[in-house]
Amino acid sequence: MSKYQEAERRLKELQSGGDIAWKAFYDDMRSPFRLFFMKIANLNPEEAGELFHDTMIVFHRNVRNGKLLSPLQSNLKTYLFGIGKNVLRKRGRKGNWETEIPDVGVEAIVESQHEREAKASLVRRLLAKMGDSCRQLLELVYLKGYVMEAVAKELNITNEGTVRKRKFDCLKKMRKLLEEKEKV
Amino acid sequence: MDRKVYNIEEIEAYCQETMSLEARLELEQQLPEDEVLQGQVKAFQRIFAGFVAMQDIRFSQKMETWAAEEQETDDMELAEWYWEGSLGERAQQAIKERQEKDAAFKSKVAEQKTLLDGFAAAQAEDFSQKMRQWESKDRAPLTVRSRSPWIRRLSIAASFLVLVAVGLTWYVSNQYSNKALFATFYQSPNIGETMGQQMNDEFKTAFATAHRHLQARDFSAAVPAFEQLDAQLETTTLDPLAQQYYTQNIAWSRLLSQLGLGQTDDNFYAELDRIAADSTHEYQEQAIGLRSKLNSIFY
Repeated sequence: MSKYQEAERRLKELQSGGDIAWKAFYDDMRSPFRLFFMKIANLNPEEAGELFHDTMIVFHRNVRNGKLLSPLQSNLKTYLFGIGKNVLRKRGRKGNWETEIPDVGVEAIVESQHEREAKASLVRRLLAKMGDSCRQLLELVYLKGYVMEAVAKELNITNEGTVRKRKFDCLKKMRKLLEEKEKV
Repeated sequence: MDRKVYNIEEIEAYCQETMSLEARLELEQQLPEDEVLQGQVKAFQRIFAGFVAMQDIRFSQKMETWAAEEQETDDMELAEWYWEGSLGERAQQAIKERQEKDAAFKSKVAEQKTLLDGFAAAQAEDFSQKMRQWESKDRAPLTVRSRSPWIRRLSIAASFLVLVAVGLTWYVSNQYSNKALFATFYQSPNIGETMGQQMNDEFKTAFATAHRHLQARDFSAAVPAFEQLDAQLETTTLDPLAQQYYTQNIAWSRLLSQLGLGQTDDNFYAELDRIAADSTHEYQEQAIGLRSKLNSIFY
């Protein structure tokens, strides 16, 4: 049996993607995270707020993309603080405070807002050129994180196999559009 | 070497890092020699990175909305940590500097200090009353040997120091309660023969009983008790000075009882405003103070 049953239960809720679960997690972690990093890592309030924001983005990504899975090796708070430590290290802020947080072995890649926007913008432009059915399907899979069964239900498609095939057909189209764009 | 033709599903698994280690190594071995595969992998890496970036942006925007909703709470929390000395040096300094530029924030920080001090004092008062109750219950028989008065004073002083240390922790968990505000503004009256020469015994007993309910924080009994006293006062014969004293005390005590019960409706505020506006009222100052606390953003 997992040592972190409550954390496992919470992880399942977060994996399902609902805003309520994420807002509750955000509210629970915000204060202790900010206080910890202001007190122990000597950040000012603005820096602590930004660090929390960036750390939550990495955490959210890892949960949604399946990088954080059961069985957990720590509770979620420790994992989140560990990401925060790694993000701060990448920004060159090191110190004795690092020993206060266990290592969680998470690559804390936080690109700049500009880089993130550029990557997103490319895909938005490609999606805009695709038909509604492909756009809808790809958004359900890659933005909302729906599994094949849920996509089939949402789009009134009879079986998952069909959804899977359509997904790859749509990705092929997207790739062609990208190649055409590169040639221009 | 026979090159494997990878389908989109396999390339997706590679890009999303869900491919088995063995399959991954095999693909990576082929990659440098296979320009078509390189093109496919590069294209899909950009597409999937774009989807991840879109997810990140959506979540980031949600968090910005949540943070904006929490701004007020964040500032109050910062002020609390500031006064508790919980922050590091840079954060403490940043808060000092922000107070110099932001008058509204400075005011919030000052208000927080007032509340912290007030609640610490309220807890001291609560504990002091508890000690009085313990002392009256545990009154030793005459045969117990007498103690040096200094031991008793030292033990009360030590209890008080413990109380002050615990006070702040108590405050954090009981910040904005009506009961705490009641404790700040309630004073036990002088129940005796000094006020009024023609005091009716029944009225006097009822008055003392009503205040005992308040002292015991039994607000649900105190409210009707003071309402009954108010009605009784009309038929009780008192000299003008005593009449004024009891009228005003009963009105104020009833208001505090309602506060303790959380009955802060329009009538409550109308009565509070009336007392605060009456310069002849014994409790005008307390009413002004209470109104200020209730109108504070912390209530």
